[in-house]
Amino acid sequence: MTEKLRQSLSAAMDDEADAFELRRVLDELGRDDDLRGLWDRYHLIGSVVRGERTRVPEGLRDRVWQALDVVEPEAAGVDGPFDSPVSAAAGSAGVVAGRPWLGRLTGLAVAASVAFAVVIGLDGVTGTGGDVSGAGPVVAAETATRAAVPAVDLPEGNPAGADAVVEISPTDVQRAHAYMLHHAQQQALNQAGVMSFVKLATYEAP
Amino acid sequence: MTSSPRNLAAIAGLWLAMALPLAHGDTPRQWLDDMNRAFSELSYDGIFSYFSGQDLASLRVIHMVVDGEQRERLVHLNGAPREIVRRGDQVACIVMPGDALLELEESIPSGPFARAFVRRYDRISENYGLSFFGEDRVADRTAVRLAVTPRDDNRYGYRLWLDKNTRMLLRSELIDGDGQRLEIFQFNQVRFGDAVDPDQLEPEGKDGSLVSHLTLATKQPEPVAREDIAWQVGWLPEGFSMAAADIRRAPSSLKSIDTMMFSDGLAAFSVFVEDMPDSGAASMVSRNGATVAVTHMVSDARQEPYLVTLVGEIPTRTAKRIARSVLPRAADAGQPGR
Repeated sequence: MTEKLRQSLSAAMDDEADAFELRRVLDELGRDDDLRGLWDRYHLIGSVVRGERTRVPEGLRDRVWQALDVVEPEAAGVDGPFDSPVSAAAGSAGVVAGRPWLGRLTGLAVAASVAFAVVIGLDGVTGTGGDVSGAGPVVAAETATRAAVPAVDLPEGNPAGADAVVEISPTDVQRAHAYMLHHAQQQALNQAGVMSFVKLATYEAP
Repeated sequence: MTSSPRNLAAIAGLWLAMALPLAHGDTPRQWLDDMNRAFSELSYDGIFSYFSGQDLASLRVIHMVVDGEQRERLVHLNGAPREIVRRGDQVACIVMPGDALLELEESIPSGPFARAFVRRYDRISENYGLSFFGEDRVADRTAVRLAVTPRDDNRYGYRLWLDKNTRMLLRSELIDGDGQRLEIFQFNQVRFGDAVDPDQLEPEGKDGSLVSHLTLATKQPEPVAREDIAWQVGWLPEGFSMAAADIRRAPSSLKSIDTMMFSDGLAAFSVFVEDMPDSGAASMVSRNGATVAVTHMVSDARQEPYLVTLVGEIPTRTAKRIARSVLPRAADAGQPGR
């Protein structure tokens, strides 16, 4: 794909291409898989940035929000750095008494999680009722501020092509986010040197 | 197999690795080992940039060994005021109220982590080619450049700039199969040895700051027998093996979250398997820099649904293939990896 063709595609997206240029882009779209992929990505990014959500099934969003079980966090401990063993009391079970491990979400946490990871696509839908499958990548508006990354690849294909479509909820993003940090912590402990804690120190980097 | 550009690069790298060691006195592998030692043993105080995904951060690091114990302080210089202080195996994070790290503490399963030996350079040459590729200047110091080239498409490569005198890492680039740089680390300035002031290891602690009890492990947790883990991956890229396994629990339900970590000596990924949340979950892919997260649903022998989340610094396609291969351990008898 040439840079000129990429520019023509961009112009076509913005309704700034003349008839000749538009025709050329359309012709190339039929022949060039890479260009077609770029076209799809531009469209997805555009719809996300505009906050559009399409074909979201009724009721699903409510169910997701109910599952959040939002509670306010307790004040964090204000101790000297090493006055108490770090997390030793939690033990391997990692229990924070009486609270769902994904439940202590506030608006800040949701916003932070959105800032951390770029959701690059929906791979289908999973649920207790089995695989309902997604018909296309639909990204929640909450991801809009960070979704405009043209370099990423969307997941290939849609498993079943059924009509049911779901948006990626804050819960989903938070879950992925939490596991990313969990993974970073595990690595940090097992590495020497400055790189070990960089991912934690730069967490939420806007 | 045809001679792809990557193969040719590997051959060229091999040739260089054979041809150039004498130029620097040691093999690339020795330089890597020395780099690792430099991280742990040297005294250094420097400011570096870290680019990951779309974000560029500046941080200061101070490191010394005091009375045989590693001391380290990492200061986030832009964005949220934040310091991470390490004393031996103990780690604390000093943050301002409202810092998202406080939420992080509450939102993930906590507890000591297993010793995983994520990076073991004795295995690295099995999965990566190592080669010198000239010299450069970083942070006003002469650096020897080292290429760490993956032997297949299931892992990323690195370019390293190592200080010619101390062998400390001055710059690194994590690159994908297309040569795109996914993460960049670089010292802008750094000083070593007696020039480092031990007082700088003490946290500054801005007014009103809090100490987050980050759940970074401080001791060896009770080992979890791998047979206790109910799940396994059906397909692993060559060279990866399990480095750690653990079972954690969701606080509300006490249902278990099986955790497995895999490494090839350099790259690592974690697999988490939990009960499917009542509300269901989206199977999705997200990414930050080189770190990818893939969620995927699996079922056990009773057709009960579970949610698999894979997180690691591996290519997305590889991550998805591994996540989709997760299967119950009991159902594995004789089942080949996909």
